[in-house]
Amino acid sequence: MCSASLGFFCWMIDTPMKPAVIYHVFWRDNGRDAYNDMQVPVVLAISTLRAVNPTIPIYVLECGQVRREWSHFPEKLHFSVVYADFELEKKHHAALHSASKSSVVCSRLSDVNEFAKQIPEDLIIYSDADVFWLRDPLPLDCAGEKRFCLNNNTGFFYYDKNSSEANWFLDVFQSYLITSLYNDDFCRRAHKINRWDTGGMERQRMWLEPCLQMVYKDIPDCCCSISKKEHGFWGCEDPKMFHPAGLNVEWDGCYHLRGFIPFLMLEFYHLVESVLSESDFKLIYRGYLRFLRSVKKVSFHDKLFNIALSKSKSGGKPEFMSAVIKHGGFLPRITFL
Amino acid sequence: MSAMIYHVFWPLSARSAYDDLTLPVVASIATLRAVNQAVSVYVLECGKGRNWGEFPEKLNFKVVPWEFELFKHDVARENHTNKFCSRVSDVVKFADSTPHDLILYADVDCFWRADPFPLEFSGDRFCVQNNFGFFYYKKQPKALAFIEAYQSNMIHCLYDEEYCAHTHEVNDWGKPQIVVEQTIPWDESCLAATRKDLPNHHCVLSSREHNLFLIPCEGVKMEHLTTMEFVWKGENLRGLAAVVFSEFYDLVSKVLSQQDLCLIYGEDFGLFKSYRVSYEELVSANVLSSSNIGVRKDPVRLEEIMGAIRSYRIKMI
Repeated sequence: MCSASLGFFCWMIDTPMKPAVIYHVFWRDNGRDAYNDMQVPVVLAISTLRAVNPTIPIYVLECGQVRREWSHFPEKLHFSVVYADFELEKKHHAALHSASKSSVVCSRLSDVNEFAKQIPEDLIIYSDADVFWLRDPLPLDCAGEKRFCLNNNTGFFYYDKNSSEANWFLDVFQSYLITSLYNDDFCRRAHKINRWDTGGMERQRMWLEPCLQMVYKDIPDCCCSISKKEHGFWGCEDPKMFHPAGLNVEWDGCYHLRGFIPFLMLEFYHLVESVLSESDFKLIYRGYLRFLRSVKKVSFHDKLFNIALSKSKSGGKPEFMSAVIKHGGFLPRITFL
Repeated sequence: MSAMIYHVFWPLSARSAYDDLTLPVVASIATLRAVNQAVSVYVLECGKGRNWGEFPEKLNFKVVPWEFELFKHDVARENHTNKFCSRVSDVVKFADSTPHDLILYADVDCFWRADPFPLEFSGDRFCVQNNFGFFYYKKQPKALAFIEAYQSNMIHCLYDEEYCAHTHEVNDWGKPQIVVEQTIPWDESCLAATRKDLPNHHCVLSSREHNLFLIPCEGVKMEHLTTMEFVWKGENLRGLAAVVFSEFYDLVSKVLSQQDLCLIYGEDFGLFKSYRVSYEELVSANVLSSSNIGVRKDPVRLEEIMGAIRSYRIKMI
């Protein structure tokens, strides 16, 4: 081998993959802005990521017909908002919108994969809009892995977009998903073996996690299973991030206010505070800010808080807000005025 | 703009593409070209290619070297039958790369009697029977949704044995004898499952447009001779249909010279010609009635056809 081609070969094996984080959001037409929707707290999630990694490219796929105002946050937190159509909707619009059967959420992997083909980065990391980071996601635990990397929940995954193994997984997963869109028997079978909580969802309804379980069952070696530390749920020790899927956050009759979490948990608050200003907080939390400031923050590692959380239940799931108030309570009025 | 697409993969033998009468794609295209000169014709040649002689220029078609799309899944390589199962994906993938908006597919043993155009349906939905020997579609939402659902079913069957068995259960056409296990996928079983799940995304072709059971019908455009076996010297030479039946012979001799036909049919060409009889007459005289033919488990054999022709002629005398 001549020195020039040897040099090229060394460059090939030494060149690290370029990572990018992709978010996927779609909105209900309820008059909110993109940054102050507590149920889809994507700006807060990105804030935690920016605090732990200032340089990684971040893209937000804003899918569907409803567009929202992002204010100055894309510039401030250095991310791009890209408008996209739901890939599944392009061919399966009618089936996807039959109210009892399916949801555009199921288009997530297809949308991310399709968009990934258009960007220069090759290590594609997907993160849900309610994933809050505690540490830099890089280096990834399964760096260099050619298979698709995820666990039982599709809220976080990553893959090398040029890997045939990863694309194989995506192809099979997509085929299972589309079958479940039209075939009720298969859908019920998928729900039957699914171990991931789908919130009491009807068993004829197409959903990501049951399909994922079916793929795992039929092709156990198709993907690389990532650890709980890398995709952390409540109760995991020393996770890189926290994904509050399966946790209720209720206040004043509103559900899934997961945007409260980075304000009320000390570890996240310190991070978002490092990248967002006081005026940013006012924009994001608006009418909730005064209330949130009145509540004593809790720590991720506080055992007593964890016990309080495990005892506070709503709809069979841990309820975050009542545990926070029960454990920490309210601050003296003078401290938050 | 429309395109007719054929899909072939060859058995291991030293034949040329045009003289392999087991896969008579050139004879089929000749019948098509005799009734329609305008449609673009492509042949997807999967695997090792063969010599096509001057027939692509003469009959105005293009041969496209192709890889089985389904073989992207390693597990698909385990069964020879998956080469058949790949055909719809191959056709659709190739069609996506062309500017044609109306795509037709025909098996190599489909012989045309009249111009396929105008078609009975617009193609906005996927147009097919329970057999994949002939189908067409436009690149329109309902047809594309049907195709993607079908392809998903096909891939799904490669990995999920229970689902694969389900597709065979809903297939009233029946899987062929080569698909011996319920766990082996078959494209027409997947088609049946897709038709069941997406009833509003497809149209069912009439026998006039795709005559699969040799049913005597007025104005039939095409005969798909999959239910006949032309066994000659131990092989099923379906290409013989184009010389044994006068309707097809009249058409192929319009676009091919006697020299071309000698190239295709070889030394027995003169013998085959001597057997020539009207297909229509045989069908009308109930010699080739559908009740004699049944489904693919009980095909009509050339010996029977020849015997029928002989006894028919004797009766006529």
